[in-house]
Amino acid sequence: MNQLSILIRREFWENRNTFVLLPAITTGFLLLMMLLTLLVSATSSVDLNVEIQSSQDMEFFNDSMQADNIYAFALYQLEGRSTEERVQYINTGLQTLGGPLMGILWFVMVFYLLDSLYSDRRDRSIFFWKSMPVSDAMTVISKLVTGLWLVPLVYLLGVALLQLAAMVMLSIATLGTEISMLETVWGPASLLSNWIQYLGALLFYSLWALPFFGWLIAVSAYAKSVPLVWVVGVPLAMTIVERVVVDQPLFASWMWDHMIPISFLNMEQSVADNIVNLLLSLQMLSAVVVGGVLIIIAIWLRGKADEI
Amino acid sequence: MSEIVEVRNVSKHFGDFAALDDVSFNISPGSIVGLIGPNGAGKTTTLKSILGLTGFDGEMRVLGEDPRSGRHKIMERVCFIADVGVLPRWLRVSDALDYIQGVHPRFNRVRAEVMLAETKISKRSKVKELSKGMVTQLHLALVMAIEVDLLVLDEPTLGLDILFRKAFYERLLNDYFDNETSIIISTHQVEEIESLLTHLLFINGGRIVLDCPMDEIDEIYSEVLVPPNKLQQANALSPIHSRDILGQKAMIFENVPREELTNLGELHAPSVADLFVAKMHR
Repeated sequence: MNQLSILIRREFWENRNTFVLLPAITTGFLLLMMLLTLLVSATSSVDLNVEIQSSQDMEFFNDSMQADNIYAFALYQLEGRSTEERVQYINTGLQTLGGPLMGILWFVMVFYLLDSLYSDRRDRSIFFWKSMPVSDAMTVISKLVTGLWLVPLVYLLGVALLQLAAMVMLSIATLGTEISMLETVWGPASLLSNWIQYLGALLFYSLWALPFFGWLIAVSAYAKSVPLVWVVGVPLAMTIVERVVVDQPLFASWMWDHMIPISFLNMEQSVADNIVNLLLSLQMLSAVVVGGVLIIIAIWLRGKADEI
Repeated sequence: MSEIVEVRNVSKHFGDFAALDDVSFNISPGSIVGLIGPNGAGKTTTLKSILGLTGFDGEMRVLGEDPRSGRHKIMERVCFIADVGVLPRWLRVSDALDYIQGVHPRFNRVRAEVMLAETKISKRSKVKELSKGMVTQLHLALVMAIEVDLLVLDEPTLGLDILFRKAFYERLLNDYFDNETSIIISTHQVEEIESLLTHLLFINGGRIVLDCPMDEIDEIYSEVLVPPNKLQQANALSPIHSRDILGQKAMIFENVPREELTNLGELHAPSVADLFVAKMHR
């Protein structure tokens, strides 16, 4: 356990830019934009309805109106709703706020794992790491724990900050109006359950996509050059071969299903329902088994790894 | 006490090329072994095999473990410095100390810090900000603070200037070596380490061509300065090497009794460098 914690710290030292700086800057930038929309529009009244009407699934924004800023606009919209609708809209809004960070997170996870057992073979620092009494299994596990669980936590922290900021700004917008801060904003918003859902979804995805992550780290341990070509090339080739050989591309659809985030979601259900339904499915079991085998292969390859 | 390293019939092939060809030798506790050979002779492959950093065919025991399966156990009692530049460039000096303290049960942090304080290396620096010599100093300070049974040095001073090289070996001998630690050093600069060694291993073309304790060298090998008039007589004793020195021939003989050599000319023990040249040419 002690060793694992220092190995994880080592991963954060090496990847400080993408693990800490990138989410911090992104969060900061988004916070700044949120603040600017509040300040700028407070001085000059803007016509908001054009932009917002264009998003079709939010039909409740269809009313045309003048508002001081986007928060005030959202507030007037919320106020006219039933409690149930308020809960749904405000929580959908909060979840949407996490979009940019979650998108970046996916790329960070993918490229981190792909690089994790590759770059130290390139710069020969593998000889330093391997001259320490750390087993290959421990090395691989430290990278998986970092990439699949801890880095997402950092990004989730950014999401939580953005959500809190949005709540605060909505609350500020209620000042000087007759809208009740508690009833319209804080009451319907379920921040905590939102965070738990995010956490659950990330944890679920780390297992659901274990074949993909296992594949990434195995390629990282194996490739002698351009690991990205391996990562994309082999599944692509397998997909094409399957297409040619059989009519029903079962394997390919399973593979892509476990690779692309949220592709497993049934959009008619909530995220939580989706997770509960799939958690104990045969599909999930197959993912964990295939992912586990790939991770064992990665550990074995790491044991034989030499400089390149 | 049993051997620290036992190597039995170890081979390693890259395709048709034999990097190691049926190599066998031992390293005893408390010895300083020089693994000496030209570039491409198999020195690095030998050391990497001992450390479990590369696969091989044959049998090997390092501190009782097979390095192919027990690398991480071996590394608790073995340290390794490769030729310069295996410390990751992004690593901060203070983080390196934290890291080794965290993973290595035999690391003495205070000792490392004392040694670092004697250098110009700042703890806030990253490896990429240090000069080549400083990186080696750093690596040496880190490694010398670990109490181990075997220290493996693979061309540790390659690319460093003479001042650093001298200081490096002085430090190694004075501060590190005691009679319980064994050291194996690979190099192709024989002269620099000649005086440190207790045992010689010459390797060429993947084969061990000499395996001999230093104090037996002058019993087995003799160098004679032979004047021209005794050349025929000397050649009859089949010298393993001869070279011209100021009109005379310096000849090296293997396992020829001294009595037979004394009347040929001036007799003395060959230097390791000359012996190396002689062995490499055969």
